[in-house]
Amino acid sequence: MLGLRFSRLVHAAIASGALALAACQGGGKGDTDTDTDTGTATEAPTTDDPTGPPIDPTLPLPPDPTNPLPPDPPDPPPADVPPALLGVKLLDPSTLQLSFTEPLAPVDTVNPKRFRLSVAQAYLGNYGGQPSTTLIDPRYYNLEEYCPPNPPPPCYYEPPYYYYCYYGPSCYYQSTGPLVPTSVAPLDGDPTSIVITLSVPIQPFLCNTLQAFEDNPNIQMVLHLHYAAGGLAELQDLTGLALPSLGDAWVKYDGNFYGYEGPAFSNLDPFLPIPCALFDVPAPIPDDSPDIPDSDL
Amino acid sequence: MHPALHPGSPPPADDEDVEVVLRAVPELAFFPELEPCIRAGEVTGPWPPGREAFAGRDFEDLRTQALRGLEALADRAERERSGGLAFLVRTLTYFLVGPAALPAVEHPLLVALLLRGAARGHEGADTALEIARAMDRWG
Repeated sequence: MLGLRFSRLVHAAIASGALALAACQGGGKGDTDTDTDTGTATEAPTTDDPTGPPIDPTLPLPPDPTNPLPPDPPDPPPADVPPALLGVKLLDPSTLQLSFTEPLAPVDTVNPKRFRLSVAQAYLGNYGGQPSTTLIDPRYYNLEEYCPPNPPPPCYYEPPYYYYCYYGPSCYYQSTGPLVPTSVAPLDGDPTSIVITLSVPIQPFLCNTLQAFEDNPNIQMVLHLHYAAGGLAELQDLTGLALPSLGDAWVKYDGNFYGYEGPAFSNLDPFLPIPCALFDVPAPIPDDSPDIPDSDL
Repeated sequence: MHPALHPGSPPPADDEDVEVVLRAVPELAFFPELEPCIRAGEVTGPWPPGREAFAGRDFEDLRTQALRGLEALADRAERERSGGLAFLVRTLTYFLVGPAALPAVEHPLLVALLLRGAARGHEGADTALEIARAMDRWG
């Protein structure tokens, strides 16, 4: 069948040297190290600094995933200082909370299209070449699992071709479509925060993808919010000072992939990755708690 | 998404890895770079169509479009440091043009793109899973 025939051709081409498993034989980007490494793809070179990428230490540190927003916001800045974004976190899979250094003016007229999410991926330059950052539309990672109602057998070849198929599992992942902010609203009881509603919920697949890169010494990947200031309907503090733009080129860009060279995440200042720990499922609590004698308490 | 198509994916290390990467073709056909290659309404009849449904057609235009798409995907593989995607793109290109070029109905990506075009006329068929099934039954 088609797949089997093609597979044989590919292996023959590899065996003949016409096709190489990895590119960049001359020491380009990406592949030269892994070519000689027979271990798993996630194995990190032991000489790499496990503390992570060379992010500018003068930039604010990413928030602690276990406590993403500061419990006590700092005192409001002087009246002539514009507001600043302190952190972004997920309240639920469809809602972002943004916290600022001071109370904001009403946000009723703020256009949600001023905001855009990206999956920001930084190549740290460990393989050679220049460090760079790539912004990717999150739709490519916001995948939901789709399982047919009556799952067929895992391999779709009819006998006797059962030994080769394109799909192993009967369930697969497909994109939820665009993941974009659809509304901006104040957060009840907290004038220094606003909430943004998303068009579709953030899926566990996206968070799992980010987690898969957490310990990667070569590539860092985060979910990040971008904001474009300007015009009348922008975010302002109570004195009318505007929130500065944050990576606004991505908001104004029509495409779904955008790359630039330079230090990791250099266009994201402040660098405030959104903790994607929303889907940690707590351990189930048994219905019938065992009786504990008072003497054990 | 198929693990071989992820940013940062390593290139295949052995024959088994190659097999895994080759199975990503149905999902690759859904990448936006290949969208211009999809032509709806070229075949009619029940889903899935077999190779005979495309007999006698000229695929040169499709081959040219697919080559452009693969070139764009090669750029993406470079940008995203995706060794799996880079290998798949290189392999599909190798068998698309030049002395090793396969007939269109033998080239997995061209078949996947033809099937995607045919799937547009069948509700729920234009998914990676359905395209993979149809490829498995292509003959």
